[in-house]
Amino acid sequence: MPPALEVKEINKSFGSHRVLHEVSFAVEAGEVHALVGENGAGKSTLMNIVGGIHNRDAGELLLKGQAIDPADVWQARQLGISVVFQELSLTPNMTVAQNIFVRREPTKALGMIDWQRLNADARALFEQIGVDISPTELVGNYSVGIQQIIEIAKAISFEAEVIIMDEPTSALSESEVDRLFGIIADLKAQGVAIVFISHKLGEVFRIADRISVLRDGEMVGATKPAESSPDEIIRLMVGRSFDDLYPPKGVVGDEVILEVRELSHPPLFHDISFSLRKGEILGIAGLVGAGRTEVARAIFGADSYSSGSIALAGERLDIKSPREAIEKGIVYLTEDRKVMGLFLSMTMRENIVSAALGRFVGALGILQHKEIAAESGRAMQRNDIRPRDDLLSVNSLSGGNQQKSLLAKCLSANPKALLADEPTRGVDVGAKVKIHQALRDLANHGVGVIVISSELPEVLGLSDRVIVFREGRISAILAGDNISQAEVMRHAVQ
Amino acid sequence: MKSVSRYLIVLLLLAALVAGSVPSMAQDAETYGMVVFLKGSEFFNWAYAGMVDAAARIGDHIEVQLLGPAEWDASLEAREIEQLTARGVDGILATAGDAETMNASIDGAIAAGIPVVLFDSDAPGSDRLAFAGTNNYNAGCSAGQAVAEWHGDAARVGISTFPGPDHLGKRVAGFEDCLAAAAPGAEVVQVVNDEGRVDGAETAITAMLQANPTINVIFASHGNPGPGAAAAVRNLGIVGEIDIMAFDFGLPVLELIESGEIRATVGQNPYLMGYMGMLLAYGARHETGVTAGTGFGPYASLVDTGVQILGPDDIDPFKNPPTFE
Amino acid sequence: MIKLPGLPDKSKALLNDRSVILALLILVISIALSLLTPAFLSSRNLTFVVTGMTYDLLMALGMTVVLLLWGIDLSVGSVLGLTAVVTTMLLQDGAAIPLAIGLGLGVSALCGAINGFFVAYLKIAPFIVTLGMMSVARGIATVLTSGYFVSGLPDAYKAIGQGRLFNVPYMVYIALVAVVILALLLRNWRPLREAFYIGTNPEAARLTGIRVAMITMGGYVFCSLMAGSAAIFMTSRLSMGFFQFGLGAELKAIAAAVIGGASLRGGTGSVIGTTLAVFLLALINNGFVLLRGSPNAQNVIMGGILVVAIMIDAYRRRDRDED
Repeated sequence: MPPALEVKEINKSFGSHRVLHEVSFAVEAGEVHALVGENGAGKSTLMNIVGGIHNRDAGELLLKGQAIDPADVWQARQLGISVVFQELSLTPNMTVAQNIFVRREPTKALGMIDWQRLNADARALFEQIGVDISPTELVGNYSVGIQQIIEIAKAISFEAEVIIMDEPTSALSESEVDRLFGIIADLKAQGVAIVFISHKLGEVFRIADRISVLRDGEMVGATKPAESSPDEIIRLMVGRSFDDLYPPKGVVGDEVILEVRELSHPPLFHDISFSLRKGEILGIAGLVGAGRTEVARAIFGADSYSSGSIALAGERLDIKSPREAIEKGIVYLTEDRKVMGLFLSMTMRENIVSAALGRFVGALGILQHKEIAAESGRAMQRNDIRPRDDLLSVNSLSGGNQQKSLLAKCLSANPKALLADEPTRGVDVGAKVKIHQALRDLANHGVGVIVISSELPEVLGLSDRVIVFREGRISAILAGDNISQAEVMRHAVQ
Repeated sequence: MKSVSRYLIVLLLLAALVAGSVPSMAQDAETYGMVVFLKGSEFFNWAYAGMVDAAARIGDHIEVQLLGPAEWDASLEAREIEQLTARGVDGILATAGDAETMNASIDGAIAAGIPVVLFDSDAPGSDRLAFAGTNNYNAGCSAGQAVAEWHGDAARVGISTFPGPDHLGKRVAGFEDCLAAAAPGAEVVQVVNDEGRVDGAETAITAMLQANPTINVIFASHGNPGPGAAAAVRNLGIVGEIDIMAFDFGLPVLELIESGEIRATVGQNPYLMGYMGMLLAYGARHETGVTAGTGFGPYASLVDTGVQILGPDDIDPFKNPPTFE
Repeated sequence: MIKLPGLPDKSKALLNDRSVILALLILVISIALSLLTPAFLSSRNLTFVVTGMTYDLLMALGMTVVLLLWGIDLSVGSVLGLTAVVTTMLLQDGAAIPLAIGLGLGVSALCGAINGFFVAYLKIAPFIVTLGMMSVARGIATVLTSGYFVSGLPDAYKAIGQGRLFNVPYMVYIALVAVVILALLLRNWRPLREAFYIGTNPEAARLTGIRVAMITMGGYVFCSLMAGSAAIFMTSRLSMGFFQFGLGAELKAIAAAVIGGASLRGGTGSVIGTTLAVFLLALINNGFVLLRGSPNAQNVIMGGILVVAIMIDAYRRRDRDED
C-alpha cells in the first residue's frame, strides 16, 4: 500500500535563496511523523508546498500514490490534506461554527444558511474529538490555546486523510497540550496521517512514530524515537549536542540583590516572597497563567501591586514606572518582543540603545552619536547579532536575532537585576544556546537574573534555584538536588 | 404634605396665568424677533438698527428683540426660532447660518402661523415667506459698471474668488457681464483662487500681478481678498498703479480706503435688509381683506436691498456701527 | 526591507529617500515653470512664494512632531485663529507688544497643553480631543470678536511681518532658522529621538523607560505654539486679526507632513521632507496662478496630491507592518 502522502525530490528557491533541495519525505496512514529542524530549515516552506500555498520548482506530490498538484489551500483540503497553521486563520468576530464551516455552510431552500444544522454539525465534531467548546460562541472569546483546537477541529471536519500541524503547541498550556495529544491519538486510530512540526523535542519524542530532520533545506535524517535520543536529533539539527544547550552553572554569592517580600495584587498573585542573589540565575516555573509574568511586571513598575515590598541591594524601592526601575537597575525582558519589546521598524542600533539613551546625552540633552554607535557595535558583537549591520531595521531579522537584540537592549541599560520573561520564545536552537550563554555570563558578572520560562528543560538546565508558581502563589522553592522535572511539575499542578 | 403641595401647584398656576395675561392687556402690543448668528457683529447690528427704525415707524406697540448665538452655528439659530415659535411671537426675521439647517424650524414657525422673513442669507428650501438681501448678480454688476467708469475699455481686471459658494459665482458673473456691456474693450485677464483667506489672497494676487503686468484693477468677490490685494500691491511696490474694488466694509477695508490703498468697496445694505424685513413681516402679519387670496399681498417674496459703491468720501458713517446691549 | 531614517551616520545624511524625491520634483517643476513663464524665475516671485508658505510651514513642522508621536492635531487652524484674535485684541486695547505676543503664545500653548493632557494622560484618542479643541478654539475666537475684524495695530507690531532684510521679510529668516534648529533637534535631541520610539511602539517605549506621557504632551504644546507663531506672523503681516484666520489650515499641515514622509501611523517624520513638501505645494499653487489655471482645477489637483500621499503612506505602512 502506498503511503498516505509522499513528497519526492522537492526543490524550491525564493529568488536566489535556495530553501529546499531534493527533499523527500513520506507519512503513512495512522502514523504521526514529526518534522523537526531549526527556524529557517525549510519545514514551513515544505508544508506550504504540500498545502497548496507555494508552488514547487521541481519534484512530485503523491497522495496515496496518485500525483496531485493543489493550486491553493482550498483545493488541498478537498483532496484531503489540511494544514493547521501556526498563525491562526480564524476570524475572531465570527462564531466557532461559522469559522469551521466557512464557505461550505449547510443550506436550506433558496440558499439560506441552515444555522441549526451548522451548529449541530460543529457540536458533533467537538463531541467526536472530546472537547467542550460552544459552537455559537465568538472565536475571539476563546484563548489562543482553544482557538488552536478549533483550528484543528476545522481541519478534521474536512475528513482529511493527512493533517499537517505547524507548531501546534506553541501557544498551548500543558493541559491543553495533553488534550491535543489525546486528539492526535484518536485521529491516528482512525487511520489519519499526521505531520507534526515542532521545536519542542520533548513533545516530539512523546507523540511521534517517526522523526525526520531538516537542516538548511535538506533532509539530513529520519529515525524512530525508540532508536534515537533528543541529543542525537539536536546533533542532526545543528551539529551540536544537548549538553551544550546549557552553560555550566556558576558560583552564587551570598549577597542579595533583589528582595521581594509579601508582594500581593489579588486576584493575580498573593504573598510572593523570594530573594535573588548576586550571580544567581533564579528560574521561575509554573503553568501559563500562574502569575509569573504579572509578578515580574509589578517588580518592574509596569503594573501596580497592592501590598508588599521590594528592595534592591538592601534599599527599599517604591517604583511607580518602568523608567524608575531601569534607573535603579531593574530591567525586564518582555515575553512579547514584537508587541512590547522591540521597535520593529527602527534600526537595530536604535533598539539596542533605546533603554540607555540617558548614558549618551551631553549638554541640553544632545545625543552623542559616536558613543551610541560604539555601544551598539559592541552589543552586536557581544550578542552575536547577525547580520552585523546595526543600521538594518529589526523587522528584517530572524526571530532569533530579534530576540538577541531584545536581550542586548536590556543589557545596555546595565541591569543589576534582570527579569527575563520567556527569553528564548520562538527562537531556534542556535540562538537559544547563545541566549543561555549570555544570561549565564551576566550572572557570572554579578548580576542577578530571573528566568521565567514555560519550557521545563530550560528552567532546569539554566537555573541555580527554581521557584514554582501555582495559581498566583509560590508553591515551592527548589535548590540543588531537589530540582527535577517531576518535582517541578508536582508543585506546579497540585 | 400631599395636599400642601397641591395647593402650591394651584397657586403657582394662578400666578403664571396672571403674569402671562399682563402683556395681552395692552391689546395692540406685537413682538418681532430677529435671529442672527455672530450676534454682536457689525453687519447684523446694522440690520437690527434697520429693524428697530422700521418698528418705530410702524408704532410704539411694536416690540423687537435681537437673538441668536455669538458663534457661527445655525443649529443654535434653529433653536431660537423654535423658542420664538413656542412663545407665539408675531413675526421672525432670520438670517441663515447655513442654507439647510434651519429649514425645519422655519417651516414649524410658518405652520404655527408666524410669518418668517429671511434676510442677508436665504434658506431657499424652507417655507419662508420672503427674502430681503443683496442680489449677488446685481452687486457684481454694480462693481463692473464702476470699474468701466474708472478705466473704460482700458480696464484689465484680475478677480480674486474661490470655487464653491454659489453667491460668489453670481457676483463674478454679474461683474463680467456688466463690465463687458459698459466697456466692450475691457478684459478680465485672470481669476485666481484665494481659498477664501486673506493670506491666500495675498499670495495668489502677488503671483497674478507678476504674471500679468497689464492688470490695472483687482475685484475682490468677497470680504477677505480686499486687504490681501492691498498687501500684494504693497509687496510689488506698485501702490497707486492698481485700483482695488473690495467687497463689504470690514474695518480693515475702510482703513485701506482711507489710506488710498483700496479705491472703493461694494457696500451691501444690511440696514435696509432689517428695515425691509420688518415691513415685510408686519405686512404678512396684517393681511388686508382686499389682497386675501389674490396672490398679491403687502409683502414681496424677494427684495433686492441693493449695494452702494463706497469711496473715500462715503465711508465715515460706516466707521461707527451701532451697538446693542 | 524598508529603509527608515535611523540614527544618522555618514551613509544616511540629512536627506532620506523621500526628501530626495521631493527635491527632484521641485527641480522638475521649477525647470518646467521657468520654461513656460518668464514671471516664475525671478527672485521677487520666489521670495513671495516662500513668504506665502511661511504660515503653512510653521504649522506643518508642528504637525510633523505630532504625527511622529502617532498623534494628529486637527486644532492647529483654530488655535491660529484664537491666537490671532487674542493677540490683536490685546494690542488694540493698548497692551505692550511683548506682553500681547507673550499672552497670545501663552493661549496657544495652553490649547496644546489641554490637547496633550487629554491625549497623553487620559488616553483619549487624539482625533477626538483635537477635533473638540478645533471647535472650542474657533468658537472662542468667534465670540471674542463677534465676527469683527480686529485692526488698528501698532506699527512696531506690523514690522514683525512686514519688515524686510535684503528685500526678504524677517519672518522668512525666522522660519528658516526654525527649520534648521528643528532638523538638528530631531536628529540629536533626546526627547525628540524618544518621540520616534513612542510613535513606533508606545507600549514598548513605556517599558523601555521613556517618558511617554510627558514627551507626548510636549509634542502637542510644540505643535500649538507653532500655530501660535504663525498667528503672530499672519496678523502682523496682514495688519489685522480675524476669527477665521487659519480656517482649513490643519488639512494643509497634515498633507504637507505626510507628503514630506511622516506617517499617520506614527514613528516617522522629517523636517527636511516636510519643508520640501510645503515648498512643493506652494510652487504648484504659484505655477497655477502664473499659468492661469482655473481655480476649480487647482482645488482638484491639490486634493489629488493629498490622496496620492495618503495612499503612499498606507502602502508603506502595510509594507512595514507586514513583517
